[in-house]
Amino acid sequence: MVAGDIVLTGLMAVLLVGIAALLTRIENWRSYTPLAGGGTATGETVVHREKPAGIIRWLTTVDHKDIGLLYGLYAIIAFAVGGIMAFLIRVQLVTPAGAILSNNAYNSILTSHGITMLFLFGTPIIAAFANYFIPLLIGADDMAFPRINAIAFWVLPPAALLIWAGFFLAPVTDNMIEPARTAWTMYTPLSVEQTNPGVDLMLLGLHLSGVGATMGAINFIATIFTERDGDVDWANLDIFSWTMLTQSALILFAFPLLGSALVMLLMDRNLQTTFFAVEGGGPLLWQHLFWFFGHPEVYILVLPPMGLVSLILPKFSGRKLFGFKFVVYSTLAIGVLSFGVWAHHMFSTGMDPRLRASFMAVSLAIAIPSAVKTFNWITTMWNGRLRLTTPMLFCIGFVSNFIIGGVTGVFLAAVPVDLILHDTYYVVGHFHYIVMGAIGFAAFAGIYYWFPVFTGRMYQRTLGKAHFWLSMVGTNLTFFAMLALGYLGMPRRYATYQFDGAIAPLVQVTTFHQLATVGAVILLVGQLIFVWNIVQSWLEGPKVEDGDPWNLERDGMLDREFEWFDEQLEADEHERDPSLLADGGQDEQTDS
Amino acid sequence: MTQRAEGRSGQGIVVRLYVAIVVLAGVMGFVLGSIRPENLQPRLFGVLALPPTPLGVAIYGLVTVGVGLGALLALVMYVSARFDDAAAN
Repeated sequence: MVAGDIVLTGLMAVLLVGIAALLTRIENWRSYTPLAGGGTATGETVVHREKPAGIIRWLTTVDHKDIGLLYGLYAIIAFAVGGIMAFLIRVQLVTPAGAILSNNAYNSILTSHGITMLFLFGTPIIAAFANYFIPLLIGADDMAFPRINAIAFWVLPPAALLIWAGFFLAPVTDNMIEPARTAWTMYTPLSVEQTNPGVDLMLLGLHLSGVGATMGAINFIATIFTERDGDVDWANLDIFSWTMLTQSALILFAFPLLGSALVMLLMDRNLQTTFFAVEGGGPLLWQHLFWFFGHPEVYILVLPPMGLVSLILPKFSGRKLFGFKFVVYSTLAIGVLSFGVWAHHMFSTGMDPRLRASFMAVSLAIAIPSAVKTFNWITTMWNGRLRLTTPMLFCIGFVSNFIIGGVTGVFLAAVPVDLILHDTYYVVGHFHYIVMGAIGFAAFAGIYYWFPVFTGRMYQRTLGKAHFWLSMVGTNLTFFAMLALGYLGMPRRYATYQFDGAIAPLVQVTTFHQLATVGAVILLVGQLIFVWNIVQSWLEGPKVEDGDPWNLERDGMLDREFEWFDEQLEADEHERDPSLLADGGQDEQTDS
Repeated sequence: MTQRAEGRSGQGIVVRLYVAIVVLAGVMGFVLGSIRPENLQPRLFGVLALPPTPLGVAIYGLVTVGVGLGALLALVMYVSARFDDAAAN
């Protein structure tokens, strides 16, 4: 026993010495920071021409572009995990008795699917685009706080591990710690009464991801306010930066509240407080707090994708975005209104009808700025000459799916309709049209549009189009079937289903579930093609040699990120002037 | 890297999208009419009662979405013709 301890101590010592030796090998990790102010604190300008090699580069980087790529990789992995979970859910529901999963496994996967897609894919994929491209679009040297930027990313991997911890720990702890089965909304009293410690781990993981999102938001606000190049003012700030600014403000108000509510829930679970107990604040308090965060979260996820579409769609329409100012105003209006609609998630809880009416009014009002955006996108296309490239197809797909998701949402905002459709698959179909059909599509548009910039290569166009059409057909098949299931009265979240024939014939419900599953298979095939296309093209695709791969200059629509890209290509030709590689701004070229 | 030098007419594509969506609404109406949810009583614009049959609900979908999106499209055409400084043609 003692000998074992000594061996362990020795191993630990070797490990620590090894880490110390490794750290001494990367002594320059502090100073390669491509910050304008990085070298000035000591009064001397230190320019390091190379980033550290290998994995150390990625572990220590504070370059906004590297961090953007890390966010992107993280988000794609989470998308794959969440997507496989979704696929398992769909396979389970092929038969009324459930095809493959136990009820507990189904509930675990359902919970993790929602949280993974919203917090580990949705928010990070937006941060990926924003980190890489906002400094380039506004002519900044880097983010305002590069190190905070790195921290904001590096809290995310442990957050994911905590959120998924139950899946890893259940087999090794003899099911003492299991995955959470609270659904992503974590409604009390269910979430308080589940004694499983996996729920605590998930709550801590969520809290951590919120901390990361908040740090990122502060950074974006500071960057857009203070780091713009001299010739970028508020009047000509690009639309994506506007949406990121609004989104970051929403994060700043919404996420700390989620954090507080999560801590209260943790205390109710572990320290016998009564915030959400009947004798204390009551279970409804959780719903109020959660949705006060939760509904702005919807706009946190959808505003930047709207910005991406507003940025990309005009490029392939050959003309500027119609009514730019109104698109910005509608973004700000949605940002403000988003904090006044949360209780429309709670119409059926028995709350005061006068409150319900006021929340219904504000919820309906939010359709106006949304319609303004849709109107401007269509008008932009109307007088344009459209080039149906893959990013453009995804933008058009975004607009179509957003209309369906939006219109189905307007009906849900009306109290009488909501009382009938609440907690049915209609709601699931509605919000998936937005989160997959719109947000997912905009993310794909962004990936394809900027693929030449961040890889220096071009993707395979045929595969890109196959990805689009499979995603479009799969999305509409799956989520329309869900709308129909909602009309038939199929409740959400159930692992199995049985129906009274007087409400709906079981065979009909089963058929629509099977149609939704067929759609999920089509979606899965599309996403496999996407991953193959991205990986293979990144490694072997044709190199882009023109700084304007989309021929935007002809229409006078070349943005700063492509001008920067062109400079990179020229620098490559001229024996790689490394000072250009480290930085997105103009100043650095004159400094070095 | 040129995909198509001049591109396609935006108007053609938007009109085709409009037609596709209206037809899709009809198909969805047909499907909903077939599954007959409880208390299905389509009333065109809240006035004209239609039978809750596949055909009736299909007509409901076609007309409602056709008129609704048609109004939006007419507005797009009106605004584009008068207020669009950056029009390509």
